[in-house]
Amino acid sequence: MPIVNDSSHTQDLLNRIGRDDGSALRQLLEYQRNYLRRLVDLRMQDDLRGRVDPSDVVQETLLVVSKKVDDFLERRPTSFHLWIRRKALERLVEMSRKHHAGKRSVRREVTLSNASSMAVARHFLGTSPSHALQQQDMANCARQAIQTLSEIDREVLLLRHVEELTNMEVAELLEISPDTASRRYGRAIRHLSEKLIELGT
Amino acid sequence: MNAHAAASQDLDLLLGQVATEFFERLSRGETPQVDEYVQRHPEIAEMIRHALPALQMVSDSIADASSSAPSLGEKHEKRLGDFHILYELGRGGMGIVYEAEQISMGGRKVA
Repeated sequence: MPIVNDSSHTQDLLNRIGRDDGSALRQLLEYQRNYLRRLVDLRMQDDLRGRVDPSDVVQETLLVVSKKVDDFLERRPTSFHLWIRRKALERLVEMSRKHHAGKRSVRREVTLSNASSMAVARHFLGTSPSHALQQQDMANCARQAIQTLSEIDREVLLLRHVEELTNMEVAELLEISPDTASRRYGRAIRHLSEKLIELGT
Repeated sequence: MNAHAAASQDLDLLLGQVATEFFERLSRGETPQVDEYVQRHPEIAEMIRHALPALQMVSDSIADASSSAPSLGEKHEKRLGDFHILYELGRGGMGIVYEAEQISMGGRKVA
């Protein structure tokens, strides 16, 4: 099942947590675990890969979330989905900082572009056995096409299709209007279709 | 902005909205057809025909990955005697505090 952002299911669980229903928090954290895992896989800086276990990051994020969920419920600063996203990214930044502390390393900050295009590639390469050969060809073309898109196009496709954020959430995240977010998404799709046509699919 | 650029921005907005609707329907478990949208929006038919199936593959592969992953994380699926450890609640001088269920007590919550 794809994650539906602040779906009625999430809303229901949040309301139950507000009423001190102990099992609701556990259900909610369990429900978000897959999303967090995907997010961490996607956004983990290259310098942490292989050194930090992604499931540890997920676990620590869930711990932070469970401690701060009351505060979230009081303030409701954003959607729950975007809120836990921020908590996970904060963990990653903190870990990267720790990793670099005490090292004289002057390595450049790894840009998101490397991480994101690699992640997209990974998702495409991981075709399921249920995909026929013809579809695998298509998946390869799609992967190639996405890799040649501009960073801004690729990022919006990633937010919508890998992180499964809604248009409203992308708008909030990028601080643009919902129409602008839709237009940017549409433009990325238009460019993707042009690349796919070039590649002859 | 000239008229041509404005028109292409309108088409981008439409394309974005159409794709949003298509994928929202998919996530609700419906089975929207690409052809249906191609016919309804001739002005962006080519883009829909090429890009939507490709993006659908992204969503499918993610859904596959999510459903094949163990639904309960490896880390917290731990047993300690009669206790099924759920979450680490915190660390202190005396050790680590976990939230756990006592199996013999029908899942009574303990720390």
